Amino acid sequence: MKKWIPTIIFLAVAVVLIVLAIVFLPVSKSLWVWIAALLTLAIFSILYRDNPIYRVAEHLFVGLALGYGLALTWWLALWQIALQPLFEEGRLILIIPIAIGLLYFTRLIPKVSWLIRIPISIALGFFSGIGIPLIFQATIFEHIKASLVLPEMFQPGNPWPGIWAIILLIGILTTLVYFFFSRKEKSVLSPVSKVGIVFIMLGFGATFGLTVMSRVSLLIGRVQFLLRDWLGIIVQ
Amino acid sequence: MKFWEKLGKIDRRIIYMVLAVAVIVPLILTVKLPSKVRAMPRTKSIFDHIENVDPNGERKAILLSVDFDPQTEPELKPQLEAVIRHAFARNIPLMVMALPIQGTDIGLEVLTRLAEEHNKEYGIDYVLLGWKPSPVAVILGMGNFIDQVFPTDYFGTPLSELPVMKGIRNYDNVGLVMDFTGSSFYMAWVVYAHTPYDVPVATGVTSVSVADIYPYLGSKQFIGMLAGMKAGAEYERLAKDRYYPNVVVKYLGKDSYNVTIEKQSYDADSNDIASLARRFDLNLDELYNTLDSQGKFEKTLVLLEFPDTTTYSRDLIVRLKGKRAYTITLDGQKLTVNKDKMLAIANLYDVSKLKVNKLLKREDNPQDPKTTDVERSIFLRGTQAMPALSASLLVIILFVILGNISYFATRRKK
Repeated sequence: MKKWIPTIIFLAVAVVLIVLAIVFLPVSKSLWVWIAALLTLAIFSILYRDNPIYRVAEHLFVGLALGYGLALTWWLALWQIALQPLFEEGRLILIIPIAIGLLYFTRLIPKVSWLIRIPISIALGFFSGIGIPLIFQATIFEHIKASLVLPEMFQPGNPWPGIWAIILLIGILTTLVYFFFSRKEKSVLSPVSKVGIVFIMLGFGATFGLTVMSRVSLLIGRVQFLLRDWLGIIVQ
Repeated sequence: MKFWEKLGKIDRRIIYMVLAVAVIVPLILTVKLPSKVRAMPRTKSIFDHIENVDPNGERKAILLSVDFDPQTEPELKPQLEAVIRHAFARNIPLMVMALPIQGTDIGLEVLTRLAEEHNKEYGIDYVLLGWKPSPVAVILGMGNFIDQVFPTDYFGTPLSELPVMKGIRNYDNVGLVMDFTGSSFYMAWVVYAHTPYDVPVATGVTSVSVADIYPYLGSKQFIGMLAGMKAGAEYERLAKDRYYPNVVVKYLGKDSYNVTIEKQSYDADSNDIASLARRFDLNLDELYNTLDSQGKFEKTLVLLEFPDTTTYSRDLIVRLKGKRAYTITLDGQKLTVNKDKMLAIANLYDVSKLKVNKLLKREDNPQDPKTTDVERSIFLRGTQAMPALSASLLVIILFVILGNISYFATRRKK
């Protein structure tokens, strides 16, 4: 019984606050907004401690997300692209891709589970053939080109593009040295890899700062929803 | 020393509470930042590209890919809305699609709302292509023929029957592909659209992804990037300065209020009828119109100046629409509009919508003479969140500094 006391207190406080809000604030009259708001508060309750209300909201979210995704996939993909044209328009050619797709389920039957290799090999072959040259071009060649230091970057009166290009090049080289050539024991490249660590730490710091900013933005989004759409405290 | 030790062991719930206050207070009090949000070059380059997306009058569309789900909406939706508003303001044909299946519903909701706001018509000004499986096949296929990948739109209408798709066959007729994503879909657009077809690509991402995208900006594979909620505010500011005048509503009493639409350069906080009249060289007496024969509205005044024009309309017609006081609207047809009629109507729609909101809230307290800055509430949702974002980040920085001091002070003692 004791473990339920905080939950009961939380619920009581929530009910009192909600009643006060209804009386004194221009709260939303939409049932869906209310459901969304209460579920948001339920999720936020984890910040206090783990509790049954949070768990209900969490399970509801996972179940709904899965169900929503499944329903959309069934309707927009399986039905509209495969089954409807096959059964209603009689496009028999679709039997081939559908059959190949169904082979994924042979994984569940040990005797014929080897058949799963067919759809996997088709997908792998298709995406490798298309992807490898383009990915090399887009993510390696283009970036090598972009990291070159060229004479035209040093314009009289504005040398900064050139200076930044040099710093970038130093960062790339020293980071590569850190990852590929550094060893435990001291070597000639140890000081170079230490410079690489500085660049890596700068990268981590930037990523951490941006991640914090991102998470706070998400929090603001929910608070805006609660204050504007639900309680009507802030103007539309 | 004890203080620092105690600080190091502070309950995390207290930190959450302080952070919650830092977020909620600026939102409730509608705190303003001391200066305008300034657009970064990576944001401005997208704006400039859309400004010049149809050189020599060549008809080119913008393709927006809504590749995010509700989890990342607070960061990405302001970006998406700002770009769509810009495209609508410039009358650029708009195609919207999604690579993940959840994106279609978000795209539909935003498009429907903004199209109504801008008086745009489905099929003529914009189209929702919808979703198809296999992102790689979709992106590559659209490079050949868009209507082979999407034979019909989201609602099942053949693309060939939609006027907006006239002359738009593949990426050759697309001036910009813009991907809004909270994951790594941007990579697919770079690799499978920009690399083989050389179509200009930009992206709007959550702040988490920003560091990963900089290499693609450096290599100019992306023409620009919108980074997180702040970039949404930056883009809103750019679009507003270029296409939307400031709107200030001053509520004077139960049945009368002043509406002023003015250029960005004017200081909205010092809104004053007489000074406005002097500023625009108008006779104050001319500006007052008794609009309602029953005398419900007194001293209703409208001043108007559109962007890029030096003219204004002295004889605006403000009429009652319906019986309730808050449902008045400005008649866009009676305006003197030099450049872009649609833009004018869009702005006036904003004004009437705002008044509905304001007066609904003020009905209980009709004597409240508080001036309301409308720009915060109409389409600057990213901007509206900036003070809260700034305050909460300052609080986090403070906690990080205090935490570090506490850590080192405690370690030194040991």
